[in-house]
This record gives sequence, C-alpha cells and structure tokens, in this order.
Amino acid sequence: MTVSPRKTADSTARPQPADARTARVAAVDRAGLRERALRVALVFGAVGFGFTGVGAQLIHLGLQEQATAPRASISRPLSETYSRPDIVDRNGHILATDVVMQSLYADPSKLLGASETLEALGRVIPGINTAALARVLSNRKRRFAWIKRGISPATAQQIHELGLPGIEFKPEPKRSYPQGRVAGHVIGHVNIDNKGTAAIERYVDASVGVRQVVGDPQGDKRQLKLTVDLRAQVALESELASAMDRFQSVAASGVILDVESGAVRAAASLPSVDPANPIEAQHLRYLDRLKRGTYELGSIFKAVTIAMALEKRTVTTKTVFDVRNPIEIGQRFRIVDEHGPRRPLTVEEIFIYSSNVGAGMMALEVGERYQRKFLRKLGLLDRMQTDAGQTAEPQLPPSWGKAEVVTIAYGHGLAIAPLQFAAAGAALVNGGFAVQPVFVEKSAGSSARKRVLSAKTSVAIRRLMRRNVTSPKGSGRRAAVPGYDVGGKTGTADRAAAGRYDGNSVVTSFFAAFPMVKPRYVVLVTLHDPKGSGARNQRFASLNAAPTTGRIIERVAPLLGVLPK
Amino acid sequence: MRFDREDTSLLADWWFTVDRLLLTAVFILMGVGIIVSLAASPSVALNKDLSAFYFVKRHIIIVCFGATLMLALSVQSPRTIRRIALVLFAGCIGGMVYIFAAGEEINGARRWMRIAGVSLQPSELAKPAFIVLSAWAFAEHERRRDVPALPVAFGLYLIFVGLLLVQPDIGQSLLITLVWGAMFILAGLPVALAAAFFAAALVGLGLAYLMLPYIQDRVHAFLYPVRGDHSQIERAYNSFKEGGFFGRGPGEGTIKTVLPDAHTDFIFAVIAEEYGIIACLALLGLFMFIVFRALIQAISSDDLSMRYALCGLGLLIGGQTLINMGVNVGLLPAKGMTLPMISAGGSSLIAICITFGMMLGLTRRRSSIGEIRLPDVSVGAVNRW
Repeated sequence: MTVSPRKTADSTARPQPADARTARVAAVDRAGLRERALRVALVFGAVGFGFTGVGAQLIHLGLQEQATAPRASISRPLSETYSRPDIVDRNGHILATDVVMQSLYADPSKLLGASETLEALGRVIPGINTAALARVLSNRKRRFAWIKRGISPATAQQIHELGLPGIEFKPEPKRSYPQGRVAGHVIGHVNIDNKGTAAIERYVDASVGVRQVVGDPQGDKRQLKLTVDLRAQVALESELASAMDRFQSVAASGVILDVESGAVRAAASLPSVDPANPIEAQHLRYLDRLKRGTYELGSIFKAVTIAMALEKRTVTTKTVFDVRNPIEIGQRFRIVDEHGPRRPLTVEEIFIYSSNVGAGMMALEVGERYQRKFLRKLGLLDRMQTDAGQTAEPQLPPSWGKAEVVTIAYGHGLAIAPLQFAAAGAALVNGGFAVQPVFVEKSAGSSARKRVLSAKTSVAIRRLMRRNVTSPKGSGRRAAVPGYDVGGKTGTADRAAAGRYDGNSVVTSFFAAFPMVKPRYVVLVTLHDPKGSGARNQRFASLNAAPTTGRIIERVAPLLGVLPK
Repeated sequence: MRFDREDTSLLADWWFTVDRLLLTAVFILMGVGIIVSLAASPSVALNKDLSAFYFVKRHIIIVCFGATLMLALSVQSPRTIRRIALVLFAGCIGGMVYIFAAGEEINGARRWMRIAGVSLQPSELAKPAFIVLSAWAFAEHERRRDVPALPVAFGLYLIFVGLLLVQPDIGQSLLITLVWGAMFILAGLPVALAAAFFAAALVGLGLAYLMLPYIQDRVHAFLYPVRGDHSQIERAYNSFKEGGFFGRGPGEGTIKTVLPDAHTDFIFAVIAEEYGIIACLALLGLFMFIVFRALIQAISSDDLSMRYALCGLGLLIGGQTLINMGVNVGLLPAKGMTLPMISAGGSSLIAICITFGMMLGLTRRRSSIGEIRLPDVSVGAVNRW
C-alpha cells in the first residue's frame, strides 16, 4: 500500500519526541521512495519493452529478406509467373527446362512520351505491336504494362542501353524445350505465365506443382521423369517421318508400350508440334492422332474379335467357318470377302487372310451383349485417362444392331484413339491383364493387376499374331525382323470423311508385339491416307504400316534392352 | 545568432532554459516527416486524382504552422500551459459533442468537423490537453485533500473516452486508456484501484470485440492471417522483408502505389521498403530518445503536476508510435493510428506539435526566482522519486 501524505500528516499531529518523529518520517519516506521507484520502473519498463519489441521484430523481418525476398509487390497480380520442374526422359535427358529471361515492361506514368519510347524500342525489337501498345502506354495513370516477355540477354542489353525512363526489366522463368519438336505431343504446352496448359506440362501443375515466382527466379531443382525413352522416341519419329515421306501420307502416329507396366516408351503423332508454339498446335493438321483423334482402325480389331470368341468358348483356333457366302442383314447390309482363298477357313486362317466375313460370323455367334461387355472390359468404349491428358471420347455407333456387331468385328463402326487400342492390345498379349498407359515414371510397385481375359486366350492370340508374320501368306510378313520374334496384325480402313467413307483414302495400321514368346512391348503404327505405288495403287497396311513397324522394331528393340535371338 | 546570458529578452531566456536536445530531436523528426512525405505521398495523391505534391505541400504548411505553435507554447509558463489546456480541452469536448450530435460520417466513424473551411478532428487536439489536465488533477489529489481531484481525473477520462467510443474510435480510446492508466500508477494511487481500472478496460475491449464487427474482422485477420490476400496489412508487412536492411532506395518503393493509407497509417512500411530496416531502427531510436527524454525530465522535476504531465505527454507520443509501428510490423491487429510527426494528417500533426510544445514548455529549466515553487509537502522535503 502506498503511504499517503495524510498518514504522514497524522503522525506529525501527535506530540512525539523530536528524534523519534524524524526517524519515523525517514522510515516512511524510505518505504515510499522504494515503492515510487518501483512504479516508475514499471512504466519505464513497459515503454522500453514496447520499443525493444518493435526493434526486435524489425530486425527479425530484416533477416528474413535473404530467405524469401518477394519483390515487386506492385506487379504481383499482373505478372504471375511460375517456375516449373524439369521434364526428363527415363534416362534423365532433359526434355523441358526453365530458362531465366528478361521480360520488358513499362511504367506508363514515367515515360517521356509513349510514341517516342515505342519508336526507340521498335528499332531493337521490331515485332512489338506499336498501335495497341501506344494506346496502353499513353495512359499515364497506368503504372504497369507488359511490352514483351522473354527477350534474350543481348536484346535486353541493347534496350537497357537506350536509357529510356519508365522502361524496366523483370527476370522471369521461360520454358525451353532443348529437344525441339521431339515428343511435342507428349510434353504439351505452357502459357505465357509458365503454367501448364496441355499434356504432361498440364500434369506437372496438377501433380508436382509449379511455384509462383516472387522476386528473382530461383530455378526449380525438381524433376519429373517420364517413361519415354528419348532414343526410342527419336527412332520412332524418324521412321514415321520417312514412312510418311515414302507413302506420301498426310499424317502418322505410333506408340511403343511396355506390355506389363503400361509405360509408354515412345509416342508420336506426325506432323509433330513444337511445344514452344501452342498457337500452331491448335491447328487441326497438328492434332495428336494418338490420343486426341478417333479412327476406325480396321482389321487389327480382328485380334480382339477372336480373343472374344475364344473367351466365350464359341470357337477354338481350329474352328472352321464357311466364309464363301456374304453376310446379309436386312435389305441394305451385305458384306463379302474381296480377297483370300474362296473356301471354308479356320479361325487361324480368318486371322491371317483377314476375312471380314469370318470375323463377322464369329461376332454374330458371340452376340451383341457379350461383344459390348468384352470391349468395355478392354477399355475400348470409355474415354481413357492418362497422365498426359485424356483420350478423345470413343465414337460408338448410334445403335448397336447385328450390322454393327459385324462391322465392329472387323474394325469399322467404332472409332477410337489408337492409344486405347494399343493398351487393349497389350492386354491381349501380356497374359490377359488390363494395361493403363503411363507417361510418367511412377515410384516402384505397380498396383494390383486386373485380369480381363484368360492366359490361354492370350497365348492363342500371341500364336496367331506370330503366325501372321512368319506365314508366307501372312499379311504381317513384311514386319518380320530377324531375331526379334515379331508378331502382328494389319488393318486397312476406309477413311471416314464428311459423314461417309472416302473410297480413295485409307487409314492403315499395324499392331505388333515382340518378342512373341513372351512379349515385352507392343507397337501400334497408323498411317493416314498413304498413297499406293504402281498401276494397282495398292494401299494395304501390309505394304506400308507393316514394313514401317518392322523398321521401328529393328531400331528400337536393342535400345529397349530386347536382345535378338 | 548569438545569445548572451545577460540578455533577458524572451528569446534569450527561452534559448538558455529550453531542453535543446529534445528540441533538436523534434526538429529532426519534423525534417524526417517532410522527407518521407516526399517519398510516400505523391503516388497516393496521384491515385486520388490530386496533384503529385498535394500532400507534401500540405504537410509542409501544417508543419510550419505547427512548429510556430510549438515554439509559442514552449515559451509559456506551466501555469499558462495548464490554462491553455483547459480551454483547448473544453473546446474539443464541445466539438466532439457537436460531432456526435450533428457530425458527418466518414468511413463508418464520426470524427471530423469543419471550422472556417478547415477539416478538424477535435479528438486529436484534445489528447495533449487531456493529459495536462489529468496530470494536474492527479497532482492536486496528492497535494491537497480539500478538493475532490481524483473524481475530477476520472470524470475527465470518462468524458473523453466516452466521446471517443461513440465515434467510434477504439484505437484512440485504447491509447488514452493506456496513458491515463500509466499516469494513475505513477501518481501513487492504490494498486488495487489501478488493477480494477485495467480490468474494466479489458472488459470494455472485450465488449468492443463482441459488438463491433470490424474489430472482430481485424482481430481475426491478425490471428489467422491469410497469405496472399493482398490486404493493406499483409503488403505493409511484406515491405519490411522486401526492403531488407538497406532498403530498395529512395523512390524505388512499390507499396506506396498500392496502399491507400501509404502516407498515413502505413508510412512506416514505406520507409522500410525504400530506406530499409536500419533507417526504421534509427527512427525508432529517435522516438525512443524523445520519449525517454521526456520521462527522465519528468522524474527530475519537483512539481508533481509537471512531472505527471511530462510523463503523460511522453507516454502519449510513445504509445502512439508503438501502436502505429506495431501494426506495421505485424505485431498488432490493424488500428488507425498515425505515426507522430511523420504521417500526413492535419489535426494529428497539429496535435503532435501541441504535445511537443507543451513538453518543451514544461521541461524548461526554471531559473527565475518567480518560477521556484515551494515543495509540495512541508514535512520530509526530499525528492520523492
């Protein structure tokens, strides 16, 4: 308690000896002094604590500078840029990386004349749109406007030397693709802010994630490893390109798929796209014909049809069908084999001679419901999701009657993305397990495998495919590669155009696997509108897609570690 | 100019008695205010469609006026200062009552009134006057028992804070409460009473939190910060990191272009970004010097009224500085509080000048016989501090 003056006064009022009184007053004053000092110390301490606290926080914030340093907060909402992990192939070769480049912007309020500034800039970077920019830069209330993003250091230096007030640089990461167009469709694109917009680049954003750049780009040390083998990719693309050239086809696609893991070792669609040029890729000519286009793939479907019949046990490979008579359904539907021997054929011969009638008869025996169920089980009726984007929606027939049962049996009436067929085809030869194509190397340990058909059927299909290459009459004989035990099936389909078939244009495919004893890879090559040569103008897959596949396997198999026998 | 000690003119007398260290510090602060105004306010002015140097010119004019006022106050005797305080406080309370009754609401609060074309905030001007009067009341309570001084002190506090709360102005109420409470403690009043007072203040703060949604929002924003929400407070906070110890350089700052309050409540962040943490620490040190100079002058003063008044004025400057800086560096939730002498704002600047003027007036060494007062307590005339 405080010692109030009144107390002192009270004590003085009482008559006391002088020395005692003085002593008491002194004691009271000492106690009062101590308490007063305590109160002063309390207030001074509180103020001192406040100042020390703010000072400490200031130093704390100052020390954080080196760690984070988010600069240029003014332009943050306007200039979002992101740093991305590198994309590498399975051997670590870089497919996509960030390069720091200077981006040029203006603070219009500081410019000494918009038109003079643009004129000076135009001499160094001729490409800038002066009309639109002049309007933006003339607005002196603006504080920020991009002029050009991603310019080379040399140009930046030149602009810097112009000494234009209000013209500034901001370093930004810019995506660079050192392999050029190689695997362009797999890689995809980024937008101007370095955010992924297509294929793997888009997957990067969703999975590994991109980091918003605040301040100077730091560089992203992370990597995304693809299953793609750059050497196999280059081999595939160069062989497809030379096939396009040789057969004057408008486009080609190809995929090499690991039959066990679904790992895509190479995937190409020509004409290839430049990942750095997303605008060009919008053009239909550069469509990804492996994932984003749907096609009737023709007779390669017969492998599926025979597997289906074997699974339902309506046939064995030795079952005989009389294919001499046409199949007629209703008034309008009639098919007849135009090639092959005019005699009853075994299932094996139906495969090798590619008899449409035979395949149709088998499918009719199995029936529409089982056919649908089987195709769905193989994943051919539903859109496929991959880490490099989803495939185009399969185009199913409007109604699934008997005629459709027959046509689908030989690969018409159902249009799908070739990649989906490659995945289904892998299941046909790998012992009967569903395969999900993956473009990104996952951590080890694949998920539980789903059986979609019996091992016995798979063995039978392998044998048929191998026979189709080894047999002197086989449609796949031109795909044979010495020592590699290749098997495969051809498909030549009329090209659908403008709602009907163009009789003069075909899509030819070859579906192959190797080595056939125990397949490790499937290959699916598709040529779009190849031209024939010579007077007969023959454009069968056996003449173009099959030999192309053979060349691809010949080049790629050693790279993928498959040794010749 | 040379002064002679023999010279008995007002100017010479002032020069030899005034606390020249404090005076120098205050003038440095004024200079810093003008320089920082040059840095922070042009972009704000442009954003508001005013000429670039609108706020700079305004700041300089007000500081010149305020400096004159300050010097005029610094030559006054403590008694005159007290009288001025009484008149000023009465006038400001009248103004605040008028605002409460008929004031115009700006940004959800009634704080301003117009007199002869000048927009004034009476609550700002009332602050130094309130401190001087409260100090007098506390001193009288201790000195004489025949006047009910303590009720007067409480009455002054309740009237002032009551009128602040109805504006509403929670930040100023808090500042006044803290300073008044500290004076209460220094005046040697019962600890239990002081504890009760602070408990009541806490309850009041809790009520404000519960009843005023914007207080709730601010406290929530402070407790659970959302990164990347681009709020003023987050940007201000980041500018300290962006500036680093050495700053980005004068004119290189960016936050002033995006913060609407860059020239007032968040001017400290602008200083940090352009001039760096070291400059901030120097400014903090300058304020600390001024506050502690006032406090030390206070405890070496014999007159109780002067003692408490100096403490109160020092704490007022210190409290306002610390709240403003605390908000800027992210230690406190958002509060509208100007940085003394640095932030733009007419009434606030004038009020700070009055505060410094009174401080300088009260810290003058009383040399003439007439100024010497008899000790307060006849018995045991020792320095009680």
